[in-house]
Amino acid sequence: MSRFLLTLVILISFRGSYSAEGKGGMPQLNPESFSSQLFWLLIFFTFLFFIINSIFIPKIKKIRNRRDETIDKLLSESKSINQSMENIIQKINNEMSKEKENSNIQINKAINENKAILDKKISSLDVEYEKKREVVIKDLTISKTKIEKKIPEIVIALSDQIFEKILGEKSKSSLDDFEKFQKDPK
Amino acid sequence: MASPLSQFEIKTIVPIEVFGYDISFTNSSLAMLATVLLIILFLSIGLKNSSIIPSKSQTLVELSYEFIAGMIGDNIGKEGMKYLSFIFSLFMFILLGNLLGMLPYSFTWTSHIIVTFAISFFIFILVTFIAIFKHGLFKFLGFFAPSGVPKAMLILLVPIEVISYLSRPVSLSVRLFANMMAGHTLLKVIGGFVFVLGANSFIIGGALPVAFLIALTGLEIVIAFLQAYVFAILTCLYINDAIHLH
Repeated sequence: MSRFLLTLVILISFRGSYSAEGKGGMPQLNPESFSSQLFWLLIFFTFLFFIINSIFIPKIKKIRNRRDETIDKLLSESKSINQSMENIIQKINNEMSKEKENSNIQINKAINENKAILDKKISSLDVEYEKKREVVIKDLTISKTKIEKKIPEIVIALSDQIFEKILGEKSKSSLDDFEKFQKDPK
Repeated sequence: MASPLSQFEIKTIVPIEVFGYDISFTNSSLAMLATVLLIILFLSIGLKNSSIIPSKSQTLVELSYEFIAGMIGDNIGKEGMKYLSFIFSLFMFILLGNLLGMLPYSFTWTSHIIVTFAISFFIFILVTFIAIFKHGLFKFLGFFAPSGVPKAMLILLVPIEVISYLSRPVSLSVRLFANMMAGHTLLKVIGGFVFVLGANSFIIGGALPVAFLIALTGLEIVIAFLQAYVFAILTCLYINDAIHLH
């Protein structure tokens, strides 16, 4: 608003100087130039409109359509690539889980087999151990009886020696005496 | 010193007279021709090697196209797209005319009421014809009687509506013309201050109006764009009114 007021003031203040020069105010209000301005406006604007309407706007529209089409094409292409990629990933995952299952089965199988072999070996070792144990025990009992049989003889010999040393006379005990002694110690 | 209004004087370059009408090629016509050539140059440089991936100049052209297309889309809708060429040419013509006028020693043809009035009167006629062809004369006349208003009020409202409709070309043309003329006159007056103050105060006094002048020039460039925008958007609104009578 202040702009217009300022313009108004300026216009009024310069009106005096203009009328002094005999020109009569704003050149915009001088109808002498109207016909020429209207004519050239018509010519130039019509020319501009037709050239823009027939050349430039279709060109801009064409390039934008082409861009949109390309973008759509690339988008759909990338979508399909994405889809196939997802398919591949799915496939890989499927195969992986399959292989995992397979390997689990194999591992379990191997573990079971090993266990069976181990058990077999353990039982065979047990058997062998038992056998060896029996042999050893047998040997031991044989040796024991042998030793047990020898003990009275040794005891008799020793007692005879002790007797000789103490009494100075020879004594000759027999095994029968020992057995007698064993039955009746008195 | 020359009057601030002398910059608006029409000076004949090539005198032409047809059937008693003076259609001389003047400085105004020259400015208009320069405007048209600049627009064509701008568009043809931008679209010279147009490709899907735009160059800098092509981006500018597409930006201006998108600006107008967006304006039409927002204000009229899809039906308005057939007026795109017209509004685009109108916007570019007025914008470049305004901006060209900012160059020193050039001529601002948009500062002449007869030119702006001719354009806005043409828009007024166009809009009226669109409304009549699209909706018929009767429905068009119904535009001046808002629905849902008591009949007694219509006596008051119809003349107001008619006056407001008829004043559209006047307001549209005066807005552009007055803005341009006021701005250029102001620049010229401040320019005069630079000379007068500088001469009376050993040049130092001229610094303040020069700073003011620079700021005003920036403002004027903004106004040059703004007025072209306002002109285009009001045209869109009028066309929208004609297409969708409310």
